[in-house]
Amino acid sequence: MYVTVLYDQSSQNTLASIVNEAIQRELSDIQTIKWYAVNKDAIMPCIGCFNCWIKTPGKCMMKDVTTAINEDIIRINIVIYVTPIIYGSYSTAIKRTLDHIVPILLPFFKKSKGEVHHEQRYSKRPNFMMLAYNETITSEERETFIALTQANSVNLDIPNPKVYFCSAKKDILQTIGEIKSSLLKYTQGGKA
Amino acid sequence: MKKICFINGSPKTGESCSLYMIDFITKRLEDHFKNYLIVNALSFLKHSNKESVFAEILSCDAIVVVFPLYVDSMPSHLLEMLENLDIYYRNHRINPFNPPCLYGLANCGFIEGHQNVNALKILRNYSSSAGFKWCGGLGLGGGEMIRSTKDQIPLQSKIALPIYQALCTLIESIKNLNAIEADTATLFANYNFPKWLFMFMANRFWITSAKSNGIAKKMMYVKPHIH
Ligand SMILES: Cc1cc2nc3c(=O)[nH]c(=O)nc-3n(C[C@H](O)[C@H](O)[C@H](O)COP(=O)(O)O)c2cc1C
Repeated sequence: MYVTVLYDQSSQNTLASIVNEAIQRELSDIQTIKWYAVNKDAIMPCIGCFNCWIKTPGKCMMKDVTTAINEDIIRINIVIYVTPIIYGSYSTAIKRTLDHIVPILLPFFKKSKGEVHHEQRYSKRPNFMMLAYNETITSEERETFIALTQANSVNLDIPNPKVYFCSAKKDILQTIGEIKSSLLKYTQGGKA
Repeated sequence: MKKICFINGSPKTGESCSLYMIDFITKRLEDHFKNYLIVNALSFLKHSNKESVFAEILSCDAIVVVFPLYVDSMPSHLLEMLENLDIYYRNHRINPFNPPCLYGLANCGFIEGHQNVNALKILRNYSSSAGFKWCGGLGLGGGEMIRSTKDQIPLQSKIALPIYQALCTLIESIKNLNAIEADTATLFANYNFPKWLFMFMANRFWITSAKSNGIAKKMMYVKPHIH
């Protein structure tokens, strides 16, 4: 089972450094895990040029860490996004990596569950897990985030992501424990 | 007279659906607002005096965030700018008893306007977190098509009528600084156009665009990450 973890290193969120440290420590015994400390200022925002579809198919013109992240995404089993939840969205840094996911799709449209979506460039795609944290998460934000991750999964044609919320220091270890046992179950399920 | 600010969330430097929408709306608000401010979210991030821009935005009666849908939500640079505006507003309680009205106008590539639903919810959550007066939003589908067919299919034409009507509702609400009158103050609209035809035209659009860059259809399917 290959796992990639993306965590927001540039966030000023009060829980950010504790969550980032805890998850690295608690999952350190998984051999096949890869870490990306995502810094929002080290990734250029997507400029909507669509060159990744019509000029350099499958590749973004900007060279940054998202190239390596995308190479992983189409190979591994699970991606864990560790992100502050702001207004029910991913944080800026994590969203920046997601905006750059578009090259792994094809521009062509198909119908999926009655709606228009993109065809996939690669046949292999991972499952997503989310650890969304913030000291205050309103019920609307929670609901929005779950709906957002589900919409993402439809567009990427992957199963609905498992979402874990965490809004207090004292809950961090337990939440990460749940993520870990879910990872282990995944391996035992023979999906690796 | 009232003041209005448009935050343009499209990162495109040339034409964009967002800018087309801003043009359309401003022309119809000329008599109601004494001046407009249009702030481009991406160039704003490089602005040397962000605080003065924030102060100017917050002096407006209405703020309209116009943006493309990126991966089912707001583009990252827009999120970054809005988060900074939120922080500034918290620290400088400007006019807290009469906060600006906040409107959203999202457009997405897929034909269904409804696919903007989560992005507009994020903006609503933003509004209540920052303390603005949420007045609702409009989600438009087929944004690339709206922009690229604007000369052939003007907004008043039959095919575009649902979009035109929804824009008029939004404009009326902005004029009166009211919330949009609709369920959850949110409207969705797209061209009156069969889905199969939309997909056919869109797929052909991508093939033609690639061809103009010397990329044949077969090449568009390459898998550069599989060595
Ligand atoms: C990085 C990226 C992500 C996108 N994600 C979506 C999406 O999730 N759903 C959708 O319908 N369109 C998506 N689009 C298409 C844009 O929303 C569409 O092209 C829009 O019309 C652009 O608006 P603009 O011209 O105002 O920039 C995406 C485009 C880009 C570049």
